[in-house]
Amino acid sequence: MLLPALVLLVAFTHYPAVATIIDSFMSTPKPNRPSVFVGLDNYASMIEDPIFWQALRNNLWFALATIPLSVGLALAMALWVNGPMTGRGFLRMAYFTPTVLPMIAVANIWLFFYTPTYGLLEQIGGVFGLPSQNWLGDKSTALASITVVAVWKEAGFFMIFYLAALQGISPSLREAAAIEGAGRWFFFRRVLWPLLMPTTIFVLVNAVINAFRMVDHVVVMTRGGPDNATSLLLYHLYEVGFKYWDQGYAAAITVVLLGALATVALVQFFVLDKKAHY
Amino acid sequence: MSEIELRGVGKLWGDVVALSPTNLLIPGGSFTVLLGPSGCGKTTTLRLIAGLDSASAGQIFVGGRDVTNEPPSHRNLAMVFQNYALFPHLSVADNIVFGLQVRKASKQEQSERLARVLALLGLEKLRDRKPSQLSGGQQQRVALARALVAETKICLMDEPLSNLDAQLRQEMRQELRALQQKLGLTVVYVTHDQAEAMSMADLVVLLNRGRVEQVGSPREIYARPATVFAARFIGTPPMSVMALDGETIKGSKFAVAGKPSKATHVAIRPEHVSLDGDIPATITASEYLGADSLVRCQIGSEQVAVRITGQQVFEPGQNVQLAWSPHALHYFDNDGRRVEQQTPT
Repeated sequence: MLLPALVLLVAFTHYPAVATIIDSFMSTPKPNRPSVFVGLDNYASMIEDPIFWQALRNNLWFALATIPLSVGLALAMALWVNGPMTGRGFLRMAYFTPTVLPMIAVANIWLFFYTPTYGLLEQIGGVFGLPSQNWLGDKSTALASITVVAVWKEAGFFMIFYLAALQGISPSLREAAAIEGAGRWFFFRRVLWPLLMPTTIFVLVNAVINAFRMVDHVVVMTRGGPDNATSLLLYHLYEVGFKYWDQGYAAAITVVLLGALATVALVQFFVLDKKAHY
Repeated sequence: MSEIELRGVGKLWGDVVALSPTNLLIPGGSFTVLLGPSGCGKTTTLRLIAGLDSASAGQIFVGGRDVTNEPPSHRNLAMVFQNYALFPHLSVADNIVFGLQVRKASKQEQSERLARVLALLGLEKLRDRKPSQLSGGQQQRVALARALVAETKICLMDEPLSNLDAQLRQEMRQELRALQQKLGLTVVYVTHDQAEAMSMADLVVLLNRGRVEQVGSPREIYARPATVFAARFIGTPPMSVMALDGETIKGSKFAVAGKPSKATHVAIRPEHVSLDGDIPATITASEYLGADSLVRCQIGSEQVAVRITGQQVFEPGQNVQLAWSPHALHYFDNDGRRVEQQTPT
């Protein structure tokens, strides 16, 4: 019974993963020179590659900004649309819309927002007499601009998880707290937040993975530029692997990326899990 | 100082009347039961008193103070919920002191009150457990403890025993009643179980379709139901209500002597009917209950239940002669209101 699933998993997940690790110790095969074992050479060239370090740094900033922002925003939106109010069905849908859109489409929408001279931000800024700003073309704002897009895209998705969890909490808990005189903040801190902990862990793990996995909007909006200011690890990996065709080096970057992600996920599960009530 | 008064209190949900304007006085220190079938407005009434819902009309007084527009926490009362509403991530002790923490009671006061209420309800050994590690009865006690620790004089209870098994329910009834008397609490207790109401209450408020049918002690309501609804609701089994056709029971030739002129229905308790008389009836069913049996008989087109001792055996279709005392009869008019018998002069 397990065989079909097992075959697919091995063929498309386990074998490629193992193959990647092996490849990372081999040189890139060329038509006139087959792949040979090179030991840690690929990893050594990674350490010497300044663009790798820049991409890593960019990615850490990107993760540090998107994760708390998108999760915090998701929680705030979920708390808001969970309450009784008119038009909350519409609001929930509106918040969820960015999730439904493909990342390529999202990137194109935001490309228009950011466009110099006639983009939306420029036009709004012009009304208030703000100076013109090339958001994506300026090294100092490009990464932040990319980050905003990712937050916009992710928050609605995470909101759905929070909303589902909030709906699962019995309304009589809120009433019991109201009888005792607990204010909103006290109730949130002592009851809602602990009860939402499992959801928060799940969302955090996803947010971390997404922060290192999202590359579509970089491809569409900046191609890593200007001057590698928005190059994230995965984009750098794509460039090394498929533009410069250095497959061995690309495999080494992949291994590092996966290792880092696995570590973060495990730490989250084992550290935060202890604090969660299921 | 802990009486509750409703003056013209009503509640609408859109166009649906959940509670018609109602006047009600719940005396301080009493065990008052709001009784009625589901959808009768009893839980609505309780939630209005608690302040969890706001009244569409009227005023609510607690201890002589108008609390109609006060939030629940300013009404100086505690509440036990049907599903207990325990915080699943907090231990028994933390659940109980939750309200004290909200009110920023000192650590010392918290632990003193906690110890007192744990001892009162015999929960000392469970203080560090989580609600999911407790049985239904234990959860019920914790919910009760959380209500009692506030040391308010009023405790509202929304069907607190309905999730317990029959045996435990019996025990908890006695215990709740004893606690209420020991602490001098005003308890407002919602239930659909009339046996629970009869056994615990000082005062029963019988509700039906958002209206108060009758307010009285269990004995009063049992002995003198004010309406046909009360007659049909109270008692296991309740009174048999028979329609009258002029002077006779509908579909029969039996004339009811001494019938008040306005009466259109006559009712009698099963225990007030015996099988040694002259009222012709046919047995339709017989139910053996151990100590006694319940025999259902037909007079004309109307049904009457008879309670007899358990040994006697009857078969459906058998003809019997029923008897009752005219004083045991209750009369109701066309609107379902009680009509008093003319006392023979």
